Amino acid sequence: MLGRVESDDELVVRLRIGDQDAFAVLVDRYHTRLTRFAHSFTPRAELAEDIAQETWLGLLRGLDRFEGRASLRTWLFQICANRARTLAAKEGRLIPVDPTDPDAPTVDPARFGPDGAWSQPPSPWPDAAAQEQEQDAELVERVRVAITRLPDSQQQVVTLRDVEGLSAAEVCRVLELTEGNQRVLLHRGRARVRALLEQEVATK
Amino acid sequence: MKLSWFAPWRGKNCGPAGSESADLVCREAVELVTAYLDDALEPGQRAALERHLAGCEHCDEYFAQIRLVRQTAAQVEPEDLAPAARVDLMALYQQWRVDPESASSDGSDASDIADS
Repeated sequence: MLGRVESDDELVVRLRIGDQDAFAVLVDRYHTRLTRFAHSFTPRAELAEDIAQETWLGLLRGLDRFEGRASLRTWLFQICANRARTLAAKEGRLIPVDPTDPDAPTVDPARFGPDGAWSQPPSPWPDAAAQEQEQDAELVERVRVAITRLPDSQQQVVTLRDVEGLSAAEVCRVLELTEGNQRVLLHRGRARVRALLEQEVATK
Repeated sequence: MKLSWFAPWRGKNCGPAGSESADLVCREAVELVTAYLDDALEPGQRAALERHLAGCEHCDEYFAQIRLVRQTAAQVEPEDLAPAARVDLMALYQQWRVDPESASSDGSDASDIADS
């Protein structure tokens, strides 16, 4: 079956009958994604690796109860978030609450005049329209770094929504957020990434 | 998020003279971008925002930049799996096959999450 990419569902079926190769494929597919996500809960790389490993144990132990109502991917991230919270708590590290006021503006109010119109508008990014069409390795790297600089909760939502491509409903489920809170965190996170990139363009 | 949707001081429009997109000011428009991209605005709000964007190049640019951030984030690839990590994980699998209860670093159970 060379060249055919097996779906997660097919791999789960094989995993249930004890097929080690199916586990290897899933590990290749998701382990570094899980580690990256776990890293948004802790600055310690080795703890993030532990969390990702524990996630696989959670998967194996929960296989019998996995009913396929959520996607396997969502379920993995859910187990991972759960382990991250537990391990971080065990380490005496409280999960910090996002210190930003959810109602605070995401664009510096000083950039608008008294009438609410831009007084310092965003400077157009170089060929922003063209970049929407083509991959730009340097821009991708800047965005990657900017996301790692977000407050934890914003980083978690932006990682799952924009990097991993989960739906809003899936992110709410993984992170135990209401739809409104999920959107606020996504909104603040994206605006912050944009602002960081704007600074870099300005200082380049 | 509360939106100061009907701000009393609104009125001046940054769009070209004669434009009728006077419902929203830029400061309010930029706070709607995420709800807009998620298609979560009320129809009236959405229409007002689209009128504003049609007449305001700066907000249009801002929205384009946010869309670019979102689109670029989707291109951030995970790292390759290190061979040593793969070996560790396959050893974890073997250990689980032999004794499902012992294969844990701390004995706690991460599988108590239903997928429903």
